[in-house]
Amino acid sequence: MVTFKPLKVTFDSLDSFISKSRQDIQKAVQEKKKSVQKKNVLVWASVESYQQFMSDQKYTILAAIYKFHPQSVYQLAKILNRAQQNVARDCDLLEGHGFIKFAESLQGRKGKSPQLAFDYNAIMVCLPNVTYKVEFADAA
Amino acid sequence: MTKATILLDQKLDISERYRVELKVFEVQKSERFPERIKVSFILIDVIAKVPRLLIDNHAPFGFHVHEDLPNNKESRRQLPVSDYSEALEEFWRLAKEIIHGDL
Repeated sequence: MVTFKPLKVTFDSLDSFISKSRQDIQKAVQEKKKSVQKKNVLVWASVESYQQFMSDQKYTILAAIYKFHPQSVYQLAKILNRAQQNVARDCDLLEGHGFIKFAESLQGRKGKSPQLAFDYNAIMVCLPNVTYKVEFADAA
Repeated sequence: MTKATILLDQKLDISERYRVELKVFEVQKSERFPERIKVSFILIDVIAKVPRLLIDNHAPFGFHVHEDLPNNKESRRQLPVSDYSEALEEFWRLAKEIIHGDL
């Protein structure tokens, strides 16, 4: 039985992150106090940059991967009725920012299948004053 | 293969283009890692899918920066720093130059 946790997006300004990294590296090396980001948490430097990045189309890609388990970007593009080239570009960006990963396709053909970075069924966006959740079941 | 224990693993998504990944490992003492600490500070260009800046440490270079990425992976500049903290400061200085230079 797969347990789904939401993927959390939190925010920390670049200057604050730099400041924390200074402290954390000291504690990690000198006191062996580990500072390892959880795999279900992504930290963005600003709400604006996250919102610019995470378009409705990218949300839809995540929801389609969750719901349909496409075996290739080609299949995903077909599901979404979008140009493969554009879907591939969005998938590369989602992979680069830790939302998805590419795995060897189960179908014998060459190519990689886009998969969620881990088993999550929603994105929880933790804004400074409010948290909202986008459920893939609703979006797909 | 040297056994490594991760001490620090932090990532920050700065923009659509840039992501920072900071990693510190405790490794077995060796000629390559006499201080038993291995660091990797990377600024990734997500759009181009290449690292733009990398600071790491190993003998015979000590702390060094790969700042001519992705064109020349073998290009290294030794850093005049004495430890991981100073290396991190240098990383952030160079990373900010790149990030703000592109804005």
